Amino acid sequence: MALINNFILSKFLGLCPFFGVSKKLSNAVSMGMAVIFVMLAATLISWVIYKYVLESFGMEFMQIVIFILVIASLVQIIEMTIRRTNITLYNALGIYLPLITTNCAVLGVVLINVQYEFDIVQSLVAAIGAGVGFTLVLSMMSGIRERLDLADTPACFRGMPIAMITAMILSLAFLAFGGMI
Amino acid sequence: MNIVSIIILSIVGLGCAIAIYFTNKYLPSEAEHLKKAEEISQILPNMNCGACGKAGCFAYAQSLAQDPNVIVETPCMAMMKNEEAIKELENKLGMKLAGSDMNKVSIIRCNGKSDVVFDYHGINTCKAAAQLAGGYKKCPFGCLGLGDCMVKCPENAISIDEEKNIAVVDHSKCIGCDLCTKECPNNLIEVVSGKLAQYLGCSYTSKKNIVNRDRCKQGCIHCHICEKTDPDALDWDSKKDLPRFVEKNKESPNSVKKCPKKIIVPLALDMSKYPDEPKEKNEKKTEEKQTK
Repeated sequence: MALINNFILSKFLGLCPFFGVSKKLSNAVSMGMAVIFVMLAATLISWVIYKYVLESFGMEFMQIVIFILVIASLVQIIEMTIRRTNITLYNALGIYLPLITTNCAVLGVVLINVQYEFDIVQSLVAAIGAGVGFTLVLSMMSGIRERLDLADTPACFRGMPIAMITAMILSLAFLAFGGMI
Repeated sequence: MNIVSIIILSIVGLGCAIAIYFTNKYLPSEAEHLKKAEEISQILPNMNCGACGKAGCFAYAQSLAQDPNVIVETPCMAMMKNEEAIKELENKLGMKLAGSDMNKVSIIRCNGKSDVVFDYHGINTCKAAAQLAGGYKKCPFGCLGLGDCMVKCPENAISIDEEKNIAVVDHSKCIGCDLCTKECPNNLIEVVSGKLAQYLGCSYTSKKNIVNRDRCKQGCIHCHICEKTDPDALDWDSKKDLPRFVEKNKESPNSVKKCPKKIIVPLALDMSKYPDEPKEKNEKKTEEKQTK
């Protein structure tokens, strides 16, 4: 999940934070930590709901709606809890927690767990792998973009276009992991 | 089937709503000073410039909520131009602030277009350019004009003057946050009180000789005219070989006018109060000549 089926570069999920938050290394790392945390929590809750509510009523087709609902309220609760109990952690995660609410990578990992019919331990491992892969790529990309800011790029490539090209080359490199096994 | 799906969705939604409600209700409510800090941070600029020495505006608000005297020792420079915000903060803290008296601005001690010694095609920052043989400009003390300070400025007050090829500060936008001073490799930027009447816009020191380098055409020519016209306000700093203002806030309009290179730049000094008489006469004379 972290390298071969990387969420950003192989499955193309969570591209908005990939381009939006990858300008500074420190931001990217804290965003990645928040994503790992939320992915784990979301996987846990949604697995329970899928297993004991949706499957027992034969309502598997409702998974997307239910998962969105559950993830959104879960992030709300987590944000509230962190804010009230640990203000330093809240400041560190900052705006990234609410940003994750609609992150497609979080929904993606939950849906993929259902699709592959993982049990609870497998789901949690998959969630950690996905989160670590997300963090890895985000921090790699931000490191490259910090350097790119200093480089003398042609005017038409400056900013987003050169970031897209960098993402393409990164994606090619990650494709090679798939061929190794 | 449809009914069941509707019911399940509503039940799960209701469950989420109830969960949020109970976490909201039964968690320990925010501490008193945190609430106050939240209110204060809404008044603060929230640009997180770090000029106050705190980690950000919220950290500053937290320390203000605990001890309001912090604002006297380390005032928030960024809001000193905003009268309404100051008033609001005064109400919140219950104390009087000096307001715009604490206003500070940054100045750049370079005023001109220095000749270029060699073409520079390296990394596009002043810091990198200054590493290479003391910069690519003829004056080794001049602004390199690659905009390190411009990038750092939270208010976009600094811009690059294309004609002069140096950075210039828009003093109406500058908040004196002191972030740019650390960026300049030649230490040309200084944060001064907004009440400062005028400043010297050149840093050239003739005492420090570097091969093939010289003052630029716009720099100080060490003519001592300013010292002679206004001996009360100025004296000569023989160490740097540059004029120096004795009393910082004393206005010296004559030296501003007399400087042949126009490097004594008025800041708080309002030059429109001191009309330029001899120049007008000259203009009149030329007009008369033209009519004749």
